[in-house]
Order: sequence, then C-alpha cells, then structure tokens
Amino acid sequence: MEALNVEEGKNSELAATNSLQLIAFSLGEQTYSVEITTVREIRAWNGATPLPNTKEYVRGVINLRGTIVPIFDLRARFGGGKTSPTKTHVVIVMSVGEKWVGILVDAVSDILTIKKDDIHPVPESNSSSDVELLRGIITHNEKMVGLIDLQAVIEGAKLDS
Amino acid sequence: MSDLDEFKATYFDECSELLIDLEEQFTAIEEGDKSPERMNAIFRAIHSIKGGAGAFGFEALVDFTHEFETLLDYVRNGQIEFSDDVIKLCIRSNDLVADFVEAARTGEELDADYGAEEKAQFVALCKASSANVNNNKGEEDEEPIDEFDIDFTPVSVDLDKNEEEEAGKENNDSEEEIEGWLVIFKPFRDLYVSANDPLLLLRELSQLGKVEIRAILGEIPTLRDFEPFSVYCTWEIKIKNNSVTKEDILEIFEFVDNDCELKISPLQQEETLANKDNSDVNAQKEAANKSEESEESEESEENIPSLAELAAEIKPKPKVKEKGEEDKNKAPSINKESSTAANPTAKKPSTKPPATSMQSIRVDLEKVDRVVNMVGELVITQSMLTQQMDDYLRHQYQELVRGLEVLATTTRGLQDSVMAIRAQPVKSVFSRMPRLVRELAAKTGKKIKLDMSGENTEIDKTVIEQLSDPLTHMIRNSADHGIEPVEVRIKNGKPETGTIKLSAEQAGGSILIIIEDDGAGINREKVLKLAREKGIVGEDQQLSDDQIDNLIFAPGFSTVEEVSDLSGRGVGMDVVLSNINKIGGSVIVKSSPGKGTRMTLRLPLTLAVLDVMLVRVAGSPYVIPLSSIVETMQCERVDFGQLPTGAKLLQVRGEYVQSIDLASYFGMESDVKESERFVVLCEAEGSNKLALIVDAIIGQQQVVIKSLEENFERIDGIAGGTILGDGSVGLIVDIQGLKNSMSNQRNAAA
Repeated sequence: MEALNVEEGKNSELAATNSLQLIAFSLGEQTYSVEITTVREIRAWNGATPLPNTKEYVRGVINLRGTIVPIFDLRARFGGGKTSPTKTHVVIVMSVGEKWVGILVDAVSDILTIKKDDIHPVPESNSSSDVELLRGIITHNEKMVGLIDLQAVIEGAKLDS
Repeated sequence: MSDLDEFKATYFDECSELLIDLEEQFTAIEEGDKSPERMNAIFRAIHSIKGGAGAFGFEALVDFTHEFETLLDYVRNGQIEFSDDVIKLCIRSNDLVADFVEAARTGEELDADYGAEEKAQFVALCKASSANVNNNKGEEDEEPIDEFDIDFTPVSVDLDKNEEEEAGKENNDSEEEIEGWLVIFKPFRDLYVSANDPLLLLRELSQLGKVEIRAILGEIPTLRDFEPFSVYCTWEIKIKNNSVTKEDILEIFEFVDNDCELKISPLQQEETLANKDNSDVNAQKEAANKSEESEESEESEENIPSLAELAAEIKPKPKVKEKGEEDKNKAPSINKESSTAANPTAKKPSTKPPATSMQSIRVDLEKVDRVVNMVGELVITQSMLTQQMDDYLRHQYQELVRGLEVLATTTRGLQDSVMAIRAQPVKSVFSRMPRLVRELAAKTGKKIKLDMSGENTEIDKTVIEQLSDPLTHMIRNSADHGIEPVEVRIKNGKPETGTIKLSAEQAGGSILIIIEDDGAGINREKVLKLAREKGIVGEDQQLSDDQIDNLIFAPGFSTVEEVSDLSGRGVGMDVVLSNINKIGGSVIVKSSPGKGTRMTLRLPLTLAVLDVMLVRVAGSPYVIPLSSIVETMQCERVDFGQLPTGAKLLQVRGEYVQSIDLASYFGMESDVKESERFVVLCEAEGSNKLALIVDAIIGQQQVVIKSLEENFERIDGIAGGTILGDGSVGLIVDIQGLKNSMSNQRNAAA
C-alpha cells in the first residue's frame, strides 16, 4: 500500500478546529470519501468467498485475522455494475457501529482535511439512491467528492425470500 | 467493576456451586444415606454461604442460614433425630436458601416473613432438643450444653460506633461473669495474596456480638519501605458477647488459618494492651477508665499465661489489670463450661474442609475461549502446512515431514485438552431438577419421583448454559401434562407415584439427553384438534402419529385450556425447540398413549469445533457437518426421479429423498458437468433425509465455527462460516435450515 502520510501541521489544526479527516478513493472517474476514524484497515483485493442469497453488490466474505468480514462492491451498490477486481483494487475495512465491513473500490487517492461546514447537502436529484447513500458533498481541488453514508450502503443486503 | 462487586460475583459463583453440592447431598440423604460425612458436607456448605452473606451484609440470608445451621448442628451432634420430617424440612429449607441467595444476587426484596415458618420450626426443634438435654443435665454431666447457641441472634454492629459510648456500657456490664473473647489477629504480610480481606473478617466478627476493634499499627514501616500489598496491622478484637464460643470465632478465621497468627482467649477479666504508637485516643481513654476501675482492687495477680505470650508476641508492654477476687473465682468454672460446650464440635476435625478435594482454579470463561480460539487457528495453520506438502517436498525433506506429523499429533492433543477444559458434567443443570420436580409435585398435588442417571456426562459449557431453560420446560411439561393425578393413575393400574427419568449419555459426537415419563402420553386427538383450530395444521391435512406428537413444538401451541402457573403459556415447547436448535441440537418426541412420553435431546459435544466435509459449489468452498452426513455418491451412479414441478428426487435403496442442487439453490451456476457432480446424503433432525448435489468433494477436516452475524447477518441455508486451510472463508451448510425452507416452500405452494 502506498504510504498515506498526513502533515503534522494539519494534525494539530485538526484538534483545534471543527474539522474532519476523510479518506478519499476513486471509483471510475468519480471520487468518494469516508471518515478516517471509521477506517480500520486498507488491503489489496485478494478474493472473497461469495455469499449465496445476497444482493449483487455483496461480493462475499473475507477472513480478517480470524473474523469473517463481508465485502460490499461499491460500484455495484451505486448501480454501476459489478467490478471485475484485480490485485490493484482495494478493500477499505471500516467499522460501522459494532460491525466491521469492507468496501471494494478502485484505489485510495488522498487524505482530506475539511471543515464540517464544508459539507454540502446532496441536492434532490432524479435518483433517490443518491440522496440515500451519500451524507453530503465536499469540493476538493474544484472536484466533487461524495461523502458515503456507510450505514445506508450496508443495509438491506439480503435477498428477499 | 469495583473490588467488592468482584468479590460478590465470586461469592455467588461459589454459592451456586455449593447449592448444587447441597442438592446432591440431600438427594443422597433422601435415599437413605445418612452418613456423618454427608451431614458435615451440608453443614460446611451452609456455613460457607452464611459466612459470605455476613461479609456482604445480606441480612435475610444470614438470618435464615444461621437458624438452619443451628438445626443442622444439632442434627449433626445427634441431639435431634434425623427423621423423615426433619429431612423434609431441611430439603425445603435448602430450596429457601437458594431463593435467598438468588434474591441477594438480584437485589430483589423477599417478603419479610419469607421462610419464617421454617425458621420457627428450626427454633422449635432446637428448643425441644435442648430442653431435653437440660432435663438430663443432673444425671449426665458430660452432656454438652449448647444453650448459648439458641439465644444467639446475629447482631449487625456498626464498626464505627462511638467507642466511648461502648466504654460506658462496659462499665455497667462488668458485673457479668464472662465478657466474651479477646482475639489477637496478626495476619502475615501476604494475607492479600490469598484473596483475603481483614475488613470482611472483622465485619463478620461484628456479627457475633458487640465488638471493639483496635488496630495495632506499630509495625507499619516508613513510606519508603512500605509495600502496598502487604499487611502490617495487627488487630485486637474484643467480642463482648458471652454466648459466643471459641469455635464460632475460629470458624470465621477458618479461611485465613494459614495466613495469620491467631490468639483467642476468654475475656473474663479486663485486659488491654497498651499501644505505643498512640494511634487510638479513644482506646486510651477507655484504658484509663479501666485502670481506675482496677485500682480499686489492689490485688495484683499473675498474668494469664496465654496473654503473656501474646503480649510478648506483639511487643507493647502488657498492662494487665485484675478485677476483684469474686470475679476471679467465678472465672474458672465458666471457662470449663464454655470449653465443654465447645467440645462436641471441637472433637470433630471434619468441620474443616478436608484437603483431599480436587484441586481447581477459577478461570474466566473468556480466557478459556481465547485459548480455544487460538488453538483452533493453530489447527488450521497446521492443516494448511500439511496441505502444502507435495510429493517432491516429501522426498526431499523427510525431517520436515516427520516434524509436521508430530505437530499434527500435538495440535490435536492440545485441542482435545482445551476442549476438556470447557467440558463440564451435566450435573450442574441436572441438580436443579429435583427441586423443580418437588415444587411441581407440591403444586399439582401429584406424586412424582425423579430418577437421574449419567449426571457425570460432560458437555461443552456453552451447551450446558443453554440447556437449563429447555430442560426446565420439558420437565414441567412432563409433570404438568404427562404424569396423571394419583386417582387416575390408580384407576389405570399404575403405581401411585409417577416417574420422570432424566438421563444423559454420550453417543458418538453427540450427547443424548432423555426425558421420559410414565404418564398418559400425548393426547393425539386433542393435539390435532387444537392444531387445526389454531391453524397450525390445515383442515384436511393428514398427519402421522409422529408428526402429531411433534406438533407440541409448533409456535403458539399449548394444549392446556387454562393457563397454569407451571406450563401452558403456549411459549414453552417451541422455545425449547428453538433454544436447542440454536446450539445445533435436535429434539425428538416419542409417545405411546397411556404409557408415557419420551423426549430425546441430541446435542453437539462441543460448539467450538466441527468435523466437516469440505465440498465445492460453483467454485466456492462449502462445508457440511460430518455428523449429519449419511453417505456420498457420484451423480452418475444414482437414479433421480423427477416430479412434475421439476423437483428432483433421489432414489436410494428404494427410498425417495428430496434433493437440492446447492448451486442453483444458492443462486449460482455450476461449471461442472452433471455426471461429474456428487450427491451428499444428509440427515436432518427426526431422520428426515435430504440429498445435496455439490460440484466436488474436497476432503474432510476440523473447523472452528465463526459467526456470520457478527459482521453481517444471517443467511438462509448457511449456519455460519469458517476459516479454511488456505485462509479463505468456507461457508457451513445448514442442513436443518435447508430442510425447513423446503417444507416452507411446499406449504406456501399448497
């Protein structure tokens, strides 16, 4: 994994102000992010055991040092079709409440430090899933970065029987 | 958790063990074994419960156990005949003790007069007995006079009580013949190491009567040399209660016997040890009072030897004062009396727990589980290493091969040993049942006997914990619905007393627990009618006898029209089934009308490791529990029949078995030709067979069960996950779940 260093100055600034640190990652052309405090581990894609009777975006489960962790294909979750993962694809393992889950993304790109006020609400769009799956939008380097709502992403993964 | 809470938790752990032991002893006594060892064991157990309760201030429990203990002591000494009535009283009281302990644990308030009736009976019995003794006193001088014990009521004493006030009282009391006891308690430095706390001991002492406690602080070193985990204090405790015997005091210190120097001497004269360190002003004042008093009687006498000894022990210069002649003359006779009173117990060294009992340590279950888990991982790593060995390596590195073989044996041995740690005899659950049956018999007015066997069969602790509720429900059910009332039994030519048999045995990789009664059996007509009324069974659905019997496990089913206190809330048996299923077990009911019902629980030996067959379905690894596999076959060698709906039936030795193509059931596609696939014939509960079609059979291995729900959610048809030799995740096929979902589908279609 590439080293993800954070400048010292930013760190101290973080403590003082009302700011947030995010891990940004790419999914095709688009950049998304999650809060850094929820991230537990970043690892290369190394296959997963498919879970039956689950929705398409549940890629399966992996063994993370003895515990079984489900992996969600974020592209598929956003309706962009299943990812065909290679060794360069990345799984970000995060904790959501009590649970640990992984999301499959193309690559991790950056660490962003933003102010909480910089998070804009998601405008009402024609697709309700945009609003449901994102907590907000941030502008970084004049590009739009979506902040993922993890709880929403992992909900309802089971197929209705 | 504070220290005290921790102690409390330990105490309650101990209590539940003691209660189990008590139950066992009483059962043996009920069966006619009235040997002194049993009595002593009971006495010790009750005493330990009382002791701890005193330390934590559970007044009601102390009160009750104290009276109970007194009675037991009389019985033990042969002053009260251990008649059937007394045995019954004792057994009932034992149940009450359990209630008191439970109330203390949960902090619930019991009625103030709870157990009062029994307590009154104790006192009455003891009174009668001692009256008896007193009548004989003239003739038999050697008869011990234990009267003091009866008057004893535990007094809770505030340890911080103003000592001056007490000093005042003492002066008034000084007319008394005997004041009590002087205890010098000098713990060794490492008292805390053996988890003893002087405070608890002192608190318990204070239960004996008025106490005056003084700490002698002379040995406390300077801060530099002070070790926080050492005890530097010596305590001088005066117990001002003339009915306390030396044994009472010794019993309190029983557990610190080897960790302290203890001197107990009668306090018939005013004794005080001067303390050099001036630590206790009050005590000094008091001493001054007393020396004034003693000056009145000028006569100076020799020190009592034991006191001189102890005074030398403690260094400060003794200042012994004597009271008037009169007192002195009286003292010896009192001394004699109290020592004779103490004798009967003193003669029995068995009051001390025998050192022969099995040595054990108390370990947090979580710690054991951690070891179990790690051993599980070790087994996996070992099997992974073994899998990596190919023929080339085998030839090239024979030492390595040998090493791996040893590793395999050792890890297997390690695993077995760790599992043995978790294993516990089912006794801990079984022992609660006699009480239950007694209560049930009392409530229903039926006569019921409980026969237990195989209590020493060992099962994994987790299974045992989950077993208590189902077992309780099933026994209730047997007593409530199974066993008939006495009149009915007599009419039907059965013995008056109904029998419930509870047994446990190991059968291969499972444990069988069988609950059998000789009652009326299941009323199939009524059950079916009710099931139809409640819509559990369709109007024209025909069921076999076995199927009807098993309806009692259907959710929301209860055959008793009136909801009774015992069973019949309609949540009983289906809860049993779901609880048992949860721990990977199954229940089968067999009933013969008029003769009785037999329920068989089949439980896994352990929950932690599973012997499985590793198979491949659509490129993914799945594991099937070996315990449910009957046989495996190649697809091309078996015959399939097809139903109109397209469902396949496997024909095996003239039997048609429902088959499931796992790949398509799991919504995946198989990449293996039909003829090259395999059939795994499995057996779900109640001998229901199910044929699974898989792509390949890879092998057999032991796996550690991991939860899917921990980070995800339950998936139908999957019982959990496991880590395979190559580090990937394998999914455990839930045979019963598959079977259920198949019949659900069928029901939904119909």
